[in-house]
Amino acid sequence: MANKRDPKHKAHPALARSYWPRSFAYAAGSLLVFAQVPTDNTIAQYVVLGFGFLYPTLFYHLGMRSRNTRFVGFLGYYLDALIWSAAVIYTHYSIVLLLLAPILAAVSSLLMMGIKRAFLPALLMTTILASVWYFELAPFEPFGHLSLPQAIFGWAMLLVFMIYITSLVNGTTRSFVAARHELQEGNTKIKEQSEQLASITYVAQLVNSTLDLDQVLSTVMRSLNQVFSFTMMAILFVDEKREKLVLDRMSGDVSPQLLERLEGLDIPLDEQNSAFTRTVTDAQPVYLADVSKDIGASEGVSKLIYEIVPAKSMLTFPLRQDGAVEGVLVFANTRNYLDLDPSNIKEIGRYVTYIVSAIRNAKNYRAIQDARAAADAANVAKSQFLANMSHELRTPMNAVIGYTEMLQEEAEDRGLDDLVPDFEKIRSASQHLLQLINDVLDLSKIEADRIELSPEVLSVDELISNVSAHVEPLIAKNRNQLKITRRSALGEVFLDRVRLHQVILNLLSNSAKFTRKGTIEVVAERLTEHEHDLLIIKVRDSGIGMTEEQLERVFEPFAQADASTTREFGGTGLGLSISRQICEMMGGSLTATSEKDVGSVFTVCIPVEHTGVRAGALPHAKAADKSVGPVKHVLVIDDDASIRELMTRMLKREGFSVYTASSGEEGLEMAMRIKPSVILLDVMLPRMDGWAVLTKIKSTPELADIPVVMQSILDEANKGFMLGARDYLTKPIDRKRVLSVIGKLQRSDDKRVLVVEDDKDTREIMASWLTQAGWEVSAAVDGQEGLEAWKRTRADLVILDLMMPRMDGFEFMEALRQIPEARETRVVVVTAKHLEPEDLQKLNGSVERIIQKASRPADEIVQEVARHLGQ
Amino acid sequence: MHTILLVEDNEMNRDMLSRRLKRNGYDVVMAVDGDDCMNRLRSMIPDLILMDINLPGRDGYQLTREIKADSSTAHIPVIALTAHAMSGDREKCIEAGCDDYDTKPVNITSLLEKMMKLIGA
Repeated sequence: MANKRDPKHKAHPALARSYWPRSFAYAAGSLLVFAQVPTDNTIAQYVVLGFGFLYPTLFYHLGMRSRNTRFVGFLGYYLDALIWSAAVIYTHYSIVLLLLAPILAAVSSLLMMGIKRAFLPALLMTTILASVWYFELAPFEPFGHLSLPQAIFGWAMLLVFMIYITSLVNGTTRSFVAARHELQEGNTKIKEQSEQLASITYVAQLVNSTLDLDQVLSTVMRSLNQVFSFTMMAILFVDEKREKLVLDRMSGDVSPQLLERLEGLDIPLDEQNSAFTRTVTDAQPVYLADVSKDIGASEGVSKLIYEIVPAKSMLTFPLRQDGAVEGVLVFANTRNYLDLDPSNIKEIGRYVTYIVSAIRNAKNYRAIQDARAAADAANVAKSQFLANMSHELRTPMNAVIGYTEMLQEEAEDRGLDDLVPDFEKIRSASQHLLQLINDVLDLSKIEADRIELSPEVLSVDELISNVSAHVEPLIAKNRNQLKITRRSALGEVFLDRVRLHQVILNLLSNSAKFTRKGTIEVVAERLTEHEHDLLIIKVRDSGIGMTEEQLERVFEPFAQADASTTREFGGTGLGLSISRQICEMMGGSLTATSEKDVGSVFTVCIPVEHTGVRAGALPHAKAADKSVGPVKHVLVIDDDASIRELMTRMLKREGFSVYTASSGEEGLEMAMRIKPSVILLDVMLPRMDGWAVLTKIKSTPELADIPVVMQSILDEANKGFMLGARDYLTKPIDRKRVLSVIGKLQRSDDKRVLVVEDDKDTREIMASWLTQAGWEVSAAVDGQEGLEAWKRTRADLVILDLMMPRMDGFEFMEALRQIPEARETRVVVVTAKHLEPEDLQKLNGSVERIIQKASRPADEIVQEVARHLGQ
Repeated sequence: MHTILLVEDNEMNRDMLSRRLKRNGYDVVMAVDGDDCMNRLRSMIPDLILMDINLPGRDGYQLTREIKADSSTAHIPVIALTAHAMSGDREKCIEAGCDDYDTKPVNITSLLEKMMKLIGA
């Protein structure tokens, strides 16, 4: 097809090759006709000459500019025949003119197709000449006149010949097309090979980055199936006693029923002839092009396996670990016979090495995990034991305290006053013991993860006055003063009342214990700015204080600043440890500063409205505070810390509040929590890459509406988004998804949608869905047509395929963005991109990433974000 | 004088608590487990039941449910006594039909207050 912008554009071969014969024939013919024209008619003479010399060139150029040169080429031959016939009639059936055409045509076919294929035209020419002789047309007078039947015969011959030539040319064209197909096929093969290379690199990277063996296996299978076709893949391991082969896992066309039937079918290593055992004993791949011909297929366990899995062809590889064959990897096809040559087997063997490493990685990882699980279990068991112990201890304590209290009352009643102080001592010691047991119970419950916070809306003021009322007697005991300062309005918070009470009570009773005739101050404030909403409560005393070493250990369980303090001041030594853990569970912190003999300050800092998720994550990553106003949250997901910082600075300057995450998983978790207005997503992330994160975001209903700006190097795949696509669809397309994406972008008066897609089926099905949904749909097969269609229809929405012939999606976007009226047009990109390993490969392989990213104008990114927020 | 049915399997605790209740002017009938408790209820209707939760065989939750399901005993107030003090215990007790709840070791003052609230004396 014509494309003015393509300098390599050439005429169709049929047109090009017929140019010279035609020029020559017309030149010669016009001279002959010229000679026939009466000499007094000079105008006619010049018209004939001019036409004869100019027509072939004119025709060639007209043909070139046409949209279908092949058709023009054919048309040319018929026109030739007509013009030639006209000349023959005009010259009153000049025999020379009549013969010149077949001769020329024969010569031209000789030139075009060689001697062998020009044989038929030559034969035809001879027939014509012979028939001329037969009809006794001789003498060969150059300009003689024929009789009417002779002329009609000659003319008919001429027409037949022309038609024949046309069909010959058609054949030539076909052979040209065939040659081009062959070339294309060659190209595809080269492409396949490079894809294979890319996929093997991808597998290698996957092996290094994932510990999921199943994922590696399915990727290998997918990669291999681009070239070979296996329907299943299995791994068998040699058992510890090296007696048999045990099936570890299968992938491919495997149903649970099949796996169940294969259960327990272990192959004894001494089974003779079995392809599986041979692989182990010979440590060599075994290839069975036709499994039914294998002797092993009719013996022992292998036979049973073949009966359940009737493989046609099979290929096995030994899995070597540290020299010894530890297992067998089996590729099989149950549907077709495979024809593999040694180079294919070698090729597949390259993948096998990666599977071996993946197996090793997975095994090591499993060992580590098992060890950790065992340690965790032991830890939980220990905490569980402590919890049970504490419970058991409380029952007798019940009796001890009860009887003591009773005796104390009895003694008082009976006037045995000298006994009362001793009973009081027993009671107090018992109480202390009980407190200790309770604290151990608390601590072990925290460690065994058995404490759950039950947050409720509570007034901070009320809580503080409750605690101070509770602690009043203790404060008075050492003749201390309690002072409560509120730095700001404290308002209401959503926290666990009992636990917060416990923490503040613990801090106050500590201060009361370690301070004599001093001041204990509670300073409370609520810090609310931007995304921060913190409750800060400080307990300050003028007590004995701590040295730096003491301060370091103060939060450790059973580590009171000084062992002697327990005797002097009492307490269990667990309170601070428990308090700190409670604060951390609430997502906050408990810290202390102190100076020996001057006093201590303990600071509780808790983010308000914490949802009860166990702390751990970033303290600023909490639910947005509604009271702060419409601050736009931007979530930046990038594994590069410098990029994160850069983005944060840039976006903060613009007044956005910025959250950052360094991995896809963390990013998704944060996105769920903060529901940002925009997500800036890096394509290349460790473990879960940007495309996977994007897919996840778009498939999570709560997140699907958040605009995502992909960023990385300016690779084709994300160029679409950088160009300003509003959303994207993946192939195979899904009706619901298409309509929901379009519906989401639809503004009230939108009704025109343009589908630009080269694949006919996809285009038509999308058009029908959209028509049903009430859209006015127009369609175009490539970018160029798409642009024209847009200019005609001014569509509000465009669904754009990226990979199209002639003018692809990227070019289309660039061109569309040049049109001022198209600024409001929203584009949805259709891509299969994120599924292709090669794309990941392409991105992962880049080393210029940071430079590229940094070289992108910062404003562009800010604008991009602002644009998403603005609309 | 109000009659209290004390269901408690631990002998010392049973003895101690019954003596303290008697000192505070209550008539106390004791049961050592679920069967004993149900037998006693067939021959008498106490003014209040103090129910230990951790009992051998049928536990306190189960007993309370049975008591509350029987129309002849459903009106008797039940105070659960538990040594757990785990979060959620209170909810479980109330759910089983207990009228109130206290933790062991018993603080006699607070227990008496709760009892008085329920039987109005």
